[in-house]
Amino acid sequence: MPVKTACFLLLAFLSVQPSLLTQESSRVTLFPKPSEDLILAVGDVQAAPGGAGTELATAVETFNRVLWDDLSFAGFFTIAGRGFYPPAPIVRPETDIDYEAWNAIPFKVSFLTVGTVSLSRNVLRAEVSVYDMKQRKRAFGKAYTGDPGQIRTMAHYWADEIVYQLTAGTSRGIASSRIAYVARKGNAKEIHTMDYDGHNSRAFTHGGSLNLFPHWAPDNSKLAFVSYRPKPEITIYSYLDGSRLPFPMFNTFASSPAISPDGSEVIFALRTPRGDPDLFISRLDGSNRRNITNNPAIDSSPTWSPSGRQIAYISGMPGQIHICDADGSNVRRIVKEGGDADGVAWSPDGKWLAFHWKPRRSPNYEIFVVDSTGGTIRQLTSGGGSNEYPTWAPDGRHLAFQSNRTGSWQIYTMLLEGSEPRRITHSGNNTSPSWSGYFRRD
Amino acid sequence: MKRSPVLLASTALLLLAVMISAPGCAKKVSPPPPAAEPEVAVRETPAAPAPTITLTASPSAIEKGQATTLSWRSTNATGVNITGGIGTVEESGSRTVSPGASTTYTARATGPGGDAVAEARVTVSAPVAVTPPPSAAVSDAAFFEASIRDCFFDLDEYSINEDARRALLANARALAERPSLRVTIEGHCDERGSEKYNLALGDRRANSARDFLISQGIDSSRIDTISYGEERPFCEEQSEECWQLNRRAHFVMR
Repeated sequence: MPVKTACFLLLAFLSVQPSLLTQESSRVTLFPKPSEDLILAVGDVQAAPGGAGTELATAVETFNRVLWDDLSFAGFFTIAGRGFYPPAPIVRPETDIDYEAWNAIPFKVSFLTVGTVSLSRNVLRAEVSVYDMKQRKRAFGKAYTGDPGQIRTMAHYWADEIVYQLTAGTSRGIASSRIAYVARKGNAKEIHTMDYDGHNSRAFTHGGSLNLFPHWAPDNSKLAFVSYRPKPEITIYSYLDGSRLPFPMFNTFASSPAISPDGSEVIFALRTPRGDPDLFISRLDGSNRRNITNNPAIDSSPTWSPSGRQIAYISGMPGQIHICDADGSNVRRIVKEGGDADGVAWSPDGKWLAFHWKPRRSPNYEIFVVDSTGGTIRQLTSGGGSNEYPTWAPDGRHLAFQSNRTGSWQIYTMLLEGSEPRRITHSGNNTSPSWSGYFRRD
Repeated sequence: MKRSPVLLASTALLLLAVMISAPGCAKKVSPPPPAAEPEVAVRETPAAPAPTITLTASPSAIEKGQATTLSWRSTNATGVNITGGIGTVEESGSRTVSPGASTTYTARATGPGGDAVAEARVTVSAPVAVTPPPSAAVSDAAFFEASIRDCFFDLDEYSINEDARRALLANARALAERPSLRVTIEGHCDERGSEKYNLALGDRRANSARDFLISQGIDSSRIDTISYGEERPFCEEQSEECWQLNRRAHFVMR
């Protein structure tokens, strides 16, 4: 049941509630903005003095691997190559960091993360710090406690803390975010959620019917999706307690819900008496429903601008990207090159629309972005199967999408500029990713 | 059927007995029988009642491959026999038959009082592809199976092309003929479009087919629709033949 998912989430928050090791003096702006010169060294955490055993060793190894993956994928800093790090393990940073040795490596390291992990009576504790290698002092730190199964979560939290601190709060980090998606189970499709790296996957629906097109409320408190009951209906669940919110059933055709940035409304496609789907906006309880688009074509796949003042959507035959104001006025077409587009997603900073598009004569869809005022189209994927349904990470620097490049449908994530896509699901068929907002709160 | 010698003999005996017992002139015409032969014996053997039989076929006209029911009822019969490969049967009963061609069934009842004959003709016609004759004996499911067909769409289209129009006209005739029939039209798409768009396109296709039937006079309450987009393909190969099969409005009985 969804309740289980929500319970885990609450547990995770309660038991890994970060406690401060140091004064939050390091909250002050370290850099006005992320700097190209900022080089981060990701030192391995060590077993705390006196700790031993394979469980602790596994936790240490996992923490280091997850933290490395998180920070190297974050896209904010240059990560100093670990092969150059001075070999001496750092257990007590105040005495163990050999600044002269660190100065001698080919990277001008700005910051170094170090720490220890202990395991006592099945309670895992990670104490971690970042050292300012120019000032030669601790910049900030955290301690996390939880059960051994939460070691990955601790590493994600620490990665997000580092991103938050070193970007001066311009990003909260995406390592603790989650991705909702559709997992095919025989003839059924179920909504699942997973960590942004594909771990910790959990079923959210168990209905045995078709559940499609999940979409997070921007504050992660709800998941909206399409569920066959037995017709495709708009379905909204609380992600906090697993309860279903009351919403009208239309018993005709309703699809592609998206909750507004302020969380008070939902836009969706609904069949009109004319027989074609138009876009409608209503409150989350279905009240105050109003027709936004009104034309005989198929209108589908709406996405809100971050301000909530505009809507991008697909209209026509085949689908073309349009933008209108949230009251339906001021309609204009964005990509004028023809072809066939869908899966439009507005970036968190409002500047970009990501979408998948099949230019004429192309056999496959690829992921593109276009400036939300129109303009040049940039292609982000190429060469491997069909790549569809981009969804933005809350930092606006990463996208997840679905691809069948390996022969089955799987979810991939990519840094917008400069990284090969990472495959994060591996078995069955998984589609329709929706990236959550930031989970971590300060 | 030949008359058996036994029957002939017993008939002659009966005639003789009737003559003997005829009032008025018997004593004049015939010498009295020997005293040992009592008249009582003759009076106590009245003529056996003649058998009767009826035979009906319902329905009397079927399409080839369909079935009809022969029913018969006989009286005063000690044996009933029906032609057409049925043979000896009980005195009253019924049989389901499915003749391949028009057939006249003859039922003969025989008994001590003679025999009786009845006939029933079953007319068998070649099946009519679209509009089989109305028949209470054919279930809705069989009727649906025989007369309702799917229709197909062009790529990225929900308009009714000429082939689809022919199929839907036939469906409309069948639905008009069988008012008890209610259908759900499922809208399907091939896998090449994207899923969200295809779910909407499937709905549009199902609605196009429904609108067409309504335009042909079918009551809208008898036609439900549901879109499956590309979620329930009929054919999973990557070929134009397969994709065409998946671009369909699929009819199911409800």
